[in-house]
Amino acid sequence: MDKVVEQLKDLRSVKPKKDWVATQRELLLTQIKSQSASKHQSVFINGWYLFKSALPTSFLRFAAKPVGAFVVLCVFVFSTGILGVNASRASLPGDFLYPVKLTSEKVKVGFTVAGEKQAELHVQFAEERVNEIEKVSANEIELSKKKDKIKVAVDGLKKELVKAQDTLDKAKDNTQQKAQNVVDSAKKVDQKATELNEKIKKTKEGLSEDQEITEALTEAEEAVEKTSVKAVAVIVDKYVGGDVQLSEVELVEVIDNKINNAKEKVTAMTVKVTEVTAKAGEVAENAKIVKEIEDMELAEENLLKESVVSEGDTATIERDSTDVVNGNLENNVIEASAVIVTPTTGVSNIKAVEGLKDKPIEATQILTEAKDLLNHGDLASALEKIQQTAVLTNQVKQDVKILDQGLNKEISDAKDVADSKAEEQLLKEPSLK
Amino acid sequence: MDKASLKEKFLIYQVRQNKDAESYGQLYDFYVDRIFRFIFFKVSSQEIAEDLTSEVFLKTWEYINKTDRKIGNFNALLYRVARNAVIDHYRSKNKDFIGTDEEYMERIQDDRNLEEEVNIKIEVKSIEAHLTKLKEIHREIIILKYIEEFSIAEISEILDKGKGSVRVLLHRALQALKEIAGEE
Repeated sequence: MDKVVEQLKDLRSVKPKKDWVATQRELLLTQIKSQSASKHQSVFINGWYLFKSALPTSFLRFAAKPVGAFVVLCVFVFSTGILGVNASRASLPGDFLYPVKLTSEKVKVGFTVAGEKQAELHVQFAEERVNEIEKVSANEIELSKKKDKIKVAVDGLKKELVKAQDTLDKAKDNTQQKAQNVVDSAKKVDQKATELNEKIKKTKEGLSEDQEITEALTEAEEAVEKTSVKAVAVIVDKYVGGDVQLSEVELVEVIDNKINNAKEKVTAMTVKVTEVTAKAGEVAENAKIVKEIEDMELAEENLLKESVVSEGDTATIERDSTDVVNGNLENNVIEASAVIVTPTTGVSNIKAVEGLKDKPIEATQILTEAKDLLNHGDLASALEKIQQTAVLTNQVKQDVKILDQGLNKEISDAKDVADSKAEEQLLKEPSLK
Repeated sequence: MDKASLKEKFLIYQVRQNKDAESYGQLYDFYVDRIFRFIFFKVSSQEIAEDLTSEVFLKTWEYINKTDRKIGNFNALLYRVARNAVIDHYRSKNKDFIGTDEEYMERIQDDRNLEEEVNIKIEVKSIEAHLTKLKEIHREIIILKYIEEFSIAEISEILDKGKGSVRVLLHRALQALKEIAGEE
């Protein structure tokens, strides 16, 4: 068999005659040239066919599958902007092309190598979220739809800002990154953040009728402010480390600004604490009434039974104060009012109000320290204090919210009880009298 | 043609986009010897092989410029055109045949052998003679595998058959050839 194969291989030597080949070539070329005038196709199609013909068929088959198509989409999304990316730029939350927009943003980040540049990108995207919020609020759609879209955008905003902060942090710690670059990016971030808060404020004013929206936008503002503080912290870090030359006066001014912003936040927080305290007082009042009624009933029953037992509830009534907190930041004193209805419901609320009582004072204290540190030139510590305050105010906000909900429930419960008691009284009175 | 394949693709692109004759000329230079040889072993006549080869290149040019489909494998395309040209050639001689190319190629053996037994030189033991005694489909696959040295995958593309079929066919072809060679 091998012999056969060998012989077959010999046959390879068969070739056409050289002059025949040459003549034929000329003939062929003449024929084909005469057949066609050269067509000019647009440059775009040229490029596309060249590209397509250069690709192996297996790739084209890959691209035809959903997975392949997605991969190709990602590449194109970044490079050429076709496949709806440009169209998606104007899209808003809830639109069909919105996911494409978000994906293209992710792709852009993927292609950015430098950490600080990534931070800038994230802030840019955060800005885009704010733009989306503005557009949505200007749109002629029903409020509930606006609310949903705004919430989506705010969520996205918060995420972008968190990423911005993280990447900035990493860039700060990355010794390979040039400090000047990091600082420049941080400055841009801070600047952008200030702009963003202006925009958000305006939008908030426009949509003040809806509480949920206002809340969401406030959260957005806080996230932006946090990012701003982080950016300044990064700058200060590099400055203190001696890696960059900066004007200390300017830095001090910026930080002072941040302290003032924080103070505003503390004021707002204090107002909320006041409100919730007042409410707690109301609840205490109701509780007192109910207790009195209950005591009365008990007493009457006991009279009838000829035994006097009056056991107070396990909880004690403390000061019943509905003093309103004075808004003066300098001397904040909140007096807690005790809230007792029954041990089960009231105790946790008591504790909560107690806990909140001192917070505004604490916050103000921290800010005073911050100012002090700043005046002594300890920039980094001053910033830390600011960040501390932010954490505190946030926590208080959460606590107030929970407490408020708890109190609302108590109020409505107590009201029910009081109403039913009153009814009972009305029914009973004729007979007792 | 691995390294040249990118160049080949570029040439094809030139041909399709700009109707560039010179680029086609380069493709011709690369493939003419092989196509000629392929056809020659099928028709066993130099003249006919020459004519058909020219025809193949002209037809391929027309096809490339007419079709929108992507030319994945120019090599396979050329061989396919060549095969079809040979079949058409025989068909035109046997005008009353109605059937598939496969069936036709099964039959060709009889007609051709008569023709060739007259033409053939008296080198009875030469492999060329053995080849001519094979059925066309067997001869073809032997040529593709051992003379043109295509892989099973490439052959399957040229013949438009599955790789399994190609292997089976090749095996049978070799068997047939062995028998013929053994007889002499």
